[in-house]
Amino acid sequence: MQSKDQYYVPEGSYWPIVGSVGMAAMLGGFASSLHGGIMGTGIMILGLVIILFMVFGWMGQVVHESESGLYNKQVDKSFRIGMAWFIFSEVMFFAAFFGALFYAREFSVPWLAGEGNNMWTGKLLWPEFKAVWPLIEMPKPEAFVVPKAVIHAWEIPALNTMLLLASGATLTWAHWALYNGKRDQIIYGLMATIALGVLFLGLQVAEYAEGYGHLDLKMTSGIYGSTFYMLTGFHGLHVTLGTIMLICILMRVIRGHFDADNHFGFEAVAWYWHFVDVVWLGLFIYVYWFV
Amino acid sequence: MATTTTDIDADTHHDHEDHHHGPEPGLMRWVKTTNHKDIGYLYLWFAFGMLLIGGAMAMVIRAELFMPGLQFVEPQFFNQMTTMHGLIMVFGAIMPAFVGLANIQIPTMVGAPDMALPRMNNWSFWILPFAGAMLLSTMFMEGGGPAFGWTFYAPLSTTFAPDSTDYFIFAIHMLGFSSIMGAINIIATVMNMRASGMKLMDMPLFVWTWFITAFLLIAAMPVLAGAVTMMLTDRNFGTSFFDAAGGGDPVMFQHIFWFFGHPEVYIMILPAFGIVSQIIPTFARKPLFGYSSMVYATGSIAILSFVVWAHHMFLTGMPVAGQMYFMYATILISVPTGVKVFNWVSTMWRGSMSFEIPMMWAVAFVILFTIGGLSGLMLGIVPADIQYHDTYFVVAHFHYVLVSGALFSIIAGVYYWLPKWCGRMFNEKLATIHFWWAVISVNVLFFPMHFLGLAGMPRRIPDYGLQFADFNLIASLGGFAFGLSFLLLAYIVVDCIRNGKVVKEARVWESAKGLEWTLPTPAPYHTFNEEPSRELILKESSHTGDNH
Amino acid sequence: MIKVVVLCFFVFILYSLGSAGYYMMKDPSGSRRMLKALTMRIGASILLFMFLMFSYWMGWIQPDGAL
Repeated sequence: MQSKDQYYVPEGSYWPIVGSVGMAAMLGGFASSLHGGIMGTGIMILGLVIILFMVFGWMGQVVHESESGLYNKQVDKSFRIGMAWFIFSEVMFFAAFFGALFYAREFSVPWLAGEGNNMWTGKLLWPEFKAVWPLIEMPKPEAFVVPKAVIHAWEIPALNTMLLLASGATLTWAHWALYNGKRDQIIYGLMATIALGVLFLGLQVAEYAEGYGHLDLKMTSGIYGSTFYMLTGFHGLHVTLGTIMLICILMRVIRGHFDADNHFGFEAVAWYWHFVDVVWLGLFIYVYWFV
Repeated sequence: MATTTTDIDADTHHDHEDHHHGPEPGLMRWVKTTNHKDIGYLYLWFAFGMLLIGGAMAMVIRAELFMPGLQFVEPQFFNQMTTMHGLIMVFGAIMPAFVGLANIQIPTMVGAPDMALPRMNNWSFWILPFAGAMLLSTMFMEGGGPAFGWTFYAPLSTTFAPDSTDYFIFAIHMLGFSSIMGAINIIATVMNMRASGMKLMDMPLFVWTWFITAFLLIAAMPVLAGAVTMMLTDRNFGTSFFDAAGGGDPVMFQHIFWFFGHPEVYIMILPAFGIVSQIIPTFARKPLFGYSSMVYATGSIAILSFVVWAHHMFLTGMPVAGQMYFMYATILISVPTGVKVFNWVSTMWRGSMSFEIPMMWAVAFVILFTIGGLSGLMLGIVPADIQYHDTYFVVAHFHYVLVSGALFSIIAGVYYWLPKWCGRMFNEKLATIHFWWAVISVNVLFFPMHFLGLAGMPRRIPDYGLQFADFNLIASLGGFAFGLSFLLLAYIVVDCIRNGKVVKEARVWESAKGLEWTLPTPAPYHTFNEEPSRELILKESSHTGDNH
Repeated sequence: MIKVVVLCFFVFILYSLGSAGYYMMKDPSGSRRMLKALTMRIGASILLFMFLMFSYWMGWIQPDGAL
């Protein structure tokens, strides 16, 4: 790695325009498929493939440039700043959905039942409606799917919490190993983290199957179902992305990349995983547990 | 590999180094580019194109409102025009234009060779044409484009919206993604690429205001993405975020939207403050008055912008305590904003002023933005807002701050830095005509709207009562004249680039200060190959002097 | 009461995660401050989970949100 007294500007690249085409195709195809466009789904999948191609091509090029020693400390730091603020933007994205959850629980549901100065709202709109959380019976139950129950916190969710916390621990174990130069321990730690992540995703799928199959808890189950599936769904998406990134890091470790002084990729992915872990903890406490 | 070097140690040499290479030939230069100036120019041209499209829509609106009665367009199409005009101007014109100026200017002002993440910089731009095309394509779909106002309140945008709304949602996702990447890049550039001799409190104000704006973008845009995602699932997957029958609340949409929306209006005005703070010291030939108070005022405005959102919702139903809080917090913002206005005036006070074109725009900005700011204060007062809400008074207010505020500052910035970019001076006679034409017509256009609003004319309507006819006629005439002035601007800029008088001086404006004026004119393709020294930075600081 | 304890834990977890991000950004590779912050983060999370399980076992909290 070079010192800072040399500037580095990367050469031009086609990857951004490829990514833009892929993004436009994926989202445009998705929108089209929502309204019965015949080609929609196909275009969406094509767009997704293009985006994956772009991500792996672009990142591959960055890894290659990094390993051939082109980057200096300044580039490393730019990446760090970029990653930190990217995760901050993710935090704000989740904050919007957590905000919706708290707003529904603390304001809109009690108000619809007539709390505060909303007596007439309660009396005129849906006089039968009672405010309880989790909201099983919505104000106008005939328009929605009324669930039999919600997911019980001490079943799969508690198990999943243990799995993710354990994965955070194994990742931290691997992280310490990176500093101490024990490559075997990094590999085992990462493998365990990935395995726990995959297991988590499998259980999450099982939980959704339980919700849809037995409990009638669906996205169409009023505001509880909406916030439940959107929050856990976006979290699951992030676990998926995190697992893919961990696999990439594992392969790089096996190839001998990273050492105690040069491992931004590892740190970035580790931090991402910890962030996803904390989001889950928030979900467990506030979505499943209703604290 | 464009590796530019300074003080190279022998062992850090690369065989594929090539110093000072120019742009690669052909169109692909613009697609592949990682150069901050190339990307900045792309941003500016894109913004100008969108400005013309959004402006054409405004012309349709003013033509329809020229006289009472329905003349030219169907009410549904009229609603599409007001909606698309707002969306295109906010997301397609003003924001990309500021990002473009940031791209070109920030590296040159902090002594950096380029932006910190040049490839991502390219991507931030190249998402925009696709997103813009997707947004515009909704106009040609069955059921027409979005017609629910640029604020897309639920349930207008969920239950009662055309199918094309889903394309609009994804266009917003893409625009937001682009803005976030742009903001990350600016933060990384300011934090990491700044010349080591430049401390934070040495940075020019344009850099400072953009640095703070970037944080606003990163915090606000994901919330907008969340809002449109909830819209998407409410529309297509049966969720009930904004549906009271399922336990949600349409008012929740407004809370989430304005949690994004209020920081958004500061995203569009803080960089404008920065530009004006660069221009006024140059032509007043005095250091900027109260530099550090400017920085702190910008920071205060940014923080306050996150805690005042519900002043857009005084009439949607809110506990009285909430109304009181949001009113006082809103009025509080006038303090740091007032600090800024007084600082600009104090900078000009007893300066040896000259009124070159950029200065005229900057002075117009200070006066007209202040008018818009004061009408904003009127709107922020709850009992008064009950009268003004959703009238043309609101339209007058935000056009004074966004057109004669944000847009004027962009034009000022372009006139200020254009000679530096292309090494040619624009036709000053034409530019003077342009200035007076624009500044008079913009007032003829928007000032009568205050009276219309006070008299009770609602916004977003294609027809109105006879009592509003005269002022609408005046506003429309002003509108057509103002619209035409942009064709003149286009001519002046193209004429400058092609046949303008060649400028050789590095310091295009004799008393301009700042690192960008130490570069040769026209600015070289790669900006700073060598880090500027601390002495140079202090010498070029626009705020050193009596008040430092 | 339990709510407050949980909230305090959560705020601490967010703080240690945030400071890890800050160290990632500020420190060069090779600094251990980020790793230490992350270790605190995971430790506190595990403690919080154990605390939740313990309060459930003691009957202080119920999964239907009754506290």
